[in-house]
Amino acid sequence: METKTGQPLIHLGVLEEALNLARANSLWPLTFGLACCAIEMMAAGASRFDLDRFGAGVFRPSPRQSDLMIVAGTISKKMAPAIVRLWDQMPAPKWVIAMGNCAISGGPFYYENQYAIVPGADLIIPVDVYVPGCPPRPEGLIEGILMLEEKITKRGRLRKFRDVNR
Amino acid sequence: MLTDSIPQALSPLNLEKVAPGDYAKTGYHLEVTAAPEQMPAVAQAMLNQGCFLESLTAVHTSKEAFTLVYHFANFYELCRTAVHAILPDGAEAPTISHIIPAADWYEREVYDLFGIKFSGHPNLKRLLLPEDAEIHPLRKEFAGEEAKAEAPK
Repeated sequence: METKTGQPLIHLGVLEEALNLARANSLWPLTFGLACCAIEMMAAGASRFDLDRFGAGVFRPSPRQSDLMIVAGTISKKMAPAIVRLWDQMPAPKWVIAMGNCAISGGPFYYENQYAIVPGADLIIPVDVYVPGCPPRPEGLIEGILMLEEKITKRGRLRKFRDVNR
Repeated sequence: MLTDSIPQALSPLNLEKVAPGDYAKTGYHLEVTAAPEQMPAVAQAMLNQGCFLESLTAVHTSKEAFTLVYHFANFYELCRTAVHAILPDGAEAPTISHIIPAADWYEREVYDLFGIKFSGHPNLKRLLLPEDAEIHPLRKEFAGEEAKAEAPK
């Protein structure tokens, strides 16, 4: 968090916690999909899986209004500069979810001496949560968003329930 | 019948080969071989017959030469034509994008992946690879080591 938002001059712990709680529960993702993972991302936003339950269903068409970038798909070398520019245009605090194997490591398109893709979103932007799968199911993406909430609030919303189930 | 009228329309051009193809085997009713310099005239003739450009690509057939492959089809009648044009390595092929605008991006793609230049093309820059790339990956001599130099940032 601190590395991304910068150290505040005055640190109000309770206020920060409240703000982080608000941020975690209203993650606005940027509307952009690079490949087939975006289909699952759309499914996650639609009625059956309903990202709005977690406050993350408000897909924004502008990077200026978003605080979460879901890198959903293969990053070609041609696309990489555009992604970096979108990331730079997002206001802090901001987070990244690398969705799917392509965004994590290049996935099936990576091989030695390949010339077309960037093998991993973390080579060009800082990634917070990795969601593996090819593509991950919408539940997987939702799990990733809940993990990100935990990372932001250092508490998360479901920890209690998980601990009870264990 | 286009299978009759297309050879008729192409006959004044004195092409190397205009022959009926085995549609069941190859998927083409007409097999045409032309010189690259004749392609604008061929494209114009095909356009006059109501045919559209289905695809344009190249094959690196040998160290010395490429084969440009133009595929034409028709909206109203099933008649597919394959035009092959053998182009020596380093030579420029004349563009057909002023006759068939659909060829514009196809020619950019061929230039991008094979390094074949199309003379007279209005905007011959890379289509698929980054604009500052220095590789033409579908050439025979491309082994992949060249791509390593362009490692991700």
